[in-house]
Amino acid sequence: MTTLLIKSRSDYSKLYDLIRKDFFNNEIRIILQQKFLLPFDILVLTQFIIHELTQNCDVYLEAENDGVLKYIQAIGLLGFCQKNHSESTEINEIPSFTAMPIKRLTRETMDYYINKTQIYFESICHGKDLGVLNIALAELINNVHDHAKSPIDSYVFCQYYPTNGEIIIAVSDLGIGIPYSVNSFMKRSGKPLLSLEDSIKWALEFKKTTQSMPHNAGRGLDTIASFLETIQGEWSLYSDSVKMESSPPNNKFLENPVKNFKGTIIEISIKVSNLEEKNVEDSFNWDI
Amino acid sequence: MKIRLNDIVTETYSNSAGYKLYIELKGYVSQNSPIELSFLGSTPTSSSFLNSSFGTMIEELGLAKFKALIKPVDISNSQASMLRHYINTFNSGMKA
Repeated sequence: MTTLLIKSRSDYSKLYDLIRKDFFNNEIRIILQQKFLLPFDILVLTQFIIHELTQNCDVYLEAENDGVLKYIQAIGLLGFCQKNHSESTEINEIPSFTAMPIKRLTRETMDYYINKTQIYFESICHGKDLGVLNIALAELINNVHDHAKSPIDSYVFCQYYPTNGEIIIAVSDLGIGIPYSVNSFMKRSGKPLLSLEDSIKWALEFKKTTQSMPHNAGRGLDTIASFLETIQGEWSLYSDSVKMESSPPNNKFLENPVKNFKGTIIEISIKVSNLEEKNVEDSFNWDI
Repeated sequence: MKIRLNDIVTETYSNSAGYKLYIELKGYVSQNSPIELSFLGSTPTSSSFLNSSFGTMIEELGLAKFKALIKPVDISNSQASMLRHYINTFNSGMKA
């Protein structure tokens, strides 16, 4: 049995290393030593477990901290490790942690999840317009299915943190990653290749898309950044060896602390107090 | 004439739902009469949905005619922000 100790995010490199090598293991034991997990952490672990299960490997997940153990039980992460685990088509919130369940989503199933998430968080964040949450989730999931070529579709996890009055959502995939996708497009177009950091910057620009889709595609990440700027939200993007921390319009590019990273994970934080009150306008003027 | 988005599509996130709206709107705008499009009870729209609906209409009609013919009503703040963001960015990349 292979045992992997996870003390901090940089230790997730061990998980991605196994995914990349496609090395066959019979059994893997993961011991979590962190005191707190965020949606990013949940999705890294979920994707790893799913990947290993598809290789017929048994995964045992343990947590040294009691709070973390209760948490991963309650949100259903431990359930993913069980043999013959299948995700329910029903989506039921997890009131004990004000969270929505971890979910694998396709284009066909995303609207049900997004709408249920909106309804649940609206019941907690009374009177607030949570439209930005729907828009961010839809843009991120559409992006995965348009560009990532992910073998496991997209995974989503969302939680409300009452102490901070904050909603954090994360969307992940195990696809080709933004830099590879952008540079494949550059190669096809006969343009010079970009550095990893510049490829992320390119993807963030309005109307930049690697797909030859009609109707001005390439708005997804630009739309997210624009909405987050309005509500002073923040987001982090992990892809290949790049990490971007952003308080729009300011983006900071760093080395991804997770080596061997595969795919893309985007985590968005929204302060509920910054959201507008829910209101319906009778009429709308295009030019205001 | 007033039509409800919710009567036309069951979701507002995908290209395919956006295309369904485009087909519906196309039937009305061919008569050159303005339409009130009610967003009452609908979820916010993604850029993919808007690309396949409004974006396609704008490419066909031009932005000025589109704005004159399509009048969104009963619209939430976030939905209104999404439409403005979409049109502003569309405008920045197109001939007027």
